[in-house]
Amino acid sequence: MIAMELYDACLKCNICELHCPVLRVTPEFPGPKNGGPGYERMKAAGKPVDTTGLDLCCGCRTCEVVCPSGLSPVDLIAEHRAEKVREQGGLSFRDNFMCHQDRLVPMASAMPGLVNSMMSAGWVRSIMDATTKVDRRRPMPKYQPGTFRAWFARRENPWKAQPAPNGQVAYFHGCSGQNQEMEMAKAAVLVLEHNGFEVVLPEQECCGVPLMANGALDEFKQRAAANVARLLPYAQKGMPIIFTSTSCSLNVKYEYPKVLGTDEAQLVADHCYDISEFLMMLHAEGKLKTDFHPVEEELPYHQPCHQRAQGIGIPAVRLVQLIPGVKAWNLDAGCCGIAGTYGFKKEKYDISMAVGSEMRDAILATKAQRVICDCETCRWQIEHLTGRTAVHPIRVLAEAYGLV
Amino acid sequence: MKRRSYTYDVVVIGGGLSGIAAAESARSRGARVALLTDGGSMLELASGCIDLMGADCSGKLVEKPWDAIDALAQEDPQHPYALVGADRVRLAMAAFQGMAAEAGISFKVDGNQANQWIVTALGHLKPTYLVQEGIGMPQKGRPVRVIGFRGMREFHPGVFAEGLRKALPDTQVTAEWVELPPHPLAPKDLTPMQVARLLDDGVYRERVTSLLKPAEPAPALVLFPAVLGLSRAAEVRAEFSRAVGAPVGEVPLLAPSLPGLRLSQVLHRYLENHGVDVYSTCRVEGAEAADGRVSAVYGEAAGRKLEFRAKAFVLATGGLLGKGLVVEGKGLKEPIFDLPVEAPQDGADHWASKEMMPTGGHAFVRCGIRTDDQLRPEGWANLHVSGRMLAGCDPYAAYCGGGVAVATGWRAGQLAGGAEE
Repeated sequence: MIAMELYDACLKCNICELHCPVLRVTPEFPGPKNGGPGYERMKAAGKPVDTTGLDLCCGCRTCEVVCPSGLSPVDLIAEHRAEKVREQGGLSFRDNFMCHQDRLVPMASAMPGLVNSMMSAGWVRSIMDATTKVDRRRPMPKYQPGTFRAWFARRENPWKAQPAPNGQVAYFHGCSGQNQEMEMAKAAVLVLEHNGFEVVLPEQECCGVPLMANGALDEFKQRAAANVARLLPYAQKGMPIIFTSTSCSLNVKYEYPKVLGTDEAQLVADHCYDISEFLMMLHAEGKLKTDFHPVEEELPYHQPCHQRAQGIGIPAVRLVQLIPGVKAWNLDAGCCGIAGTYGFKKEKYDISMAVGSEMRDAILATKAQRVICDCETCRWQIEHLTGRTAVHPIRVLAEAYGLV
Repeated sequence: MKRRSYTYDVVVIGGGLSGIAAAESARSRGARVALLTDGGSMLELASGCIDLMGADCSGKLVEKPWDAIDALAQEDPQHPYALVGADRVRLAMAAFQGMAAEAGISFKVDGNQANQWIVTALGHLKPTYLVQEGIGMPQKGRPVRVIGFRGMREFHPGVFAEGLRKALPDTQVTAEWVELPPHPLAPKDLTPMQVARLLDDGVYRERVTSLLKPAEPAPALVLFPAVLGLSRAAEVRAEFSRAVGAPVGEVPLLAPSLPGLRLSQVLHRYLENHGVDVYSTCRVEGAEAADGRVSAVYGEAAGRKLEFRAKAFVLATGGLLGKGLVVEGKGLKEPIFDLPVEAPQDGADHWASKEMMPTGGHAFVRCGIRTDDQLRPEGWANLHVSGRMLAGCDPYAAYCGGGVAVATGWRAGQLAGGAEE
């Protein structure tokens, strides 16, 4: 399902190795060149390959971004890992649990206080650490009372009486938007409505990025098909589908058409936008409202790897730069290291922290109290590594509009 | 598939040295610029020093590159430098140095504007013009001490010293290995990248510097392979220099090259911080054009179709190595605009010499796109071509690749950004 025959284009120029954030901190990882096209060549020659260590790929797609030969070593590695998971008869208990955290939300959002205090209690984390190998040092994202969808359903649609001047957009809030990052999701709705859009919420499941990252490619494919079926009616109506998590959007835009290979998946992908990307395109048409209150703030931007892999520039920075008084720039300090579920795992926590050290130093070298970043797990890692606050750029926009 | 459309004043295709120069020159004229890149560029594989003109048309080494460039107007009026004009080449090189300095990397220029000599990993001398800070330049008769890191295959101090002794007779060259202290990240087989990353780490660096001792009598220069840090190169050099009690210089290695990567990284960051939108992973596949005017180029990034509309376009996608030109059948093709590629007539003998390094170079190296003095291929009004893709020069024989990339990129960006039509 992922093009494997291209491996022979690898020149062994080593640019991917030079940029790989994991290889920078551990020699246990065979690296994108060896682990991707290198192993493919061995297999094609009928030689046995040792896939130990491939698990350490964090799936950041940097190797794909930098490859001058147009290869995706990361996809080749993902295939090798998926084969391993299939051979083992599926995911481990821990990985399976981590891939299905969305199922916890109904329970956790009903009693967030209890769940959060359990998840931060030393003894609970020691047990989890010892039994399930979820690293005790990694703080868990805090659950909020209620859900974003419930909030959305309760509120009055501002475009109820008259049609929204710019039409409707569908919003894919993702797992974190539904609960832990609910305030960000609310801000996204308010900003879109402020700009004359009516927001509708398609039924949706987790985009499946943890499944992809953990090598459960077969289940990922099912997940992709389910989401495509749900988003398809919106795409067929020509409605933009807006994302506030760059990993969700990368998946739906890029991975779904790749793994499903259907016209439907491509049609859905063609309608997907990251919210900053969408608002900057609106701005290019002269349609974005710029009634911002001036804000004197330095806002360094951490570019999520899955945002960079989309090849859309840095619209988040350009967007907040429209706010008078804001000084925003791309830190350009590499991968934060968390890579979704990766940084929660006991065997990978130290790697995750080491990978993020460059970003940590770059942030701590600024005076900024807040960092902007459009990926939730990157934001959690930023806060964990630096003690500074990390917010989605849409939050800054909502503040400058005076909406929150 | 639906195309997502972006509009700019100038779109530069290619993120290597020439594309960077073009983007900066268009931007500095006030244009809104998009830079489209597809993966790492050849700049990341290059020495990080900028050659200008190391040999003339006959293949003879030249001391004064500007004299050779001035002479091109008469001797080779189709050479990219001649098309740009020697005065503009000067301006472009100065502007490039200014940009790099602001971005954080300075270059050494010879006081008499002569070529300078850097050393290859085999100890051979190579002429260049702008020498990136930190790159070592041994002088004849002045003792050199060479230190390699054991376990890193890319640089053997003994082989290097042997070469350098031949290149600089009567120069004392001593070679030694240093054993890097054990580190969980340092397996037996070290790559330059691993060493550079390790040396970026201050704690590890201290352990290395404690192994470096001054030599008696003190040499004029201590050379290391160019792996002295990626993001903290200046600190690494300063601390090493203190430890060995002499000036420290780096020797550029084979690809991928740390000095090239350092330069590429700071320049891309500089452009982004100055408002250029960099679209990485964007593979341009074709163009929309009528009556010699390009209205848009389109391509693919992360599985989606994109189009970029602009008033003017710069094509800086490189030569055969950078894939700006590709081999098709028995000829060469420029895949985006299908521009005619100037190439020798059929037959291997016409394309390449039987010698490996012939005087004057191989014919195929001079293949590329012919343009007018505004770097436009014939029949095109708002498309400017720059860099390695241009026909009529041989950077391997004449040591002019970097300068041609900078000068033509600068000129192309200037024209695309609204200078004389």
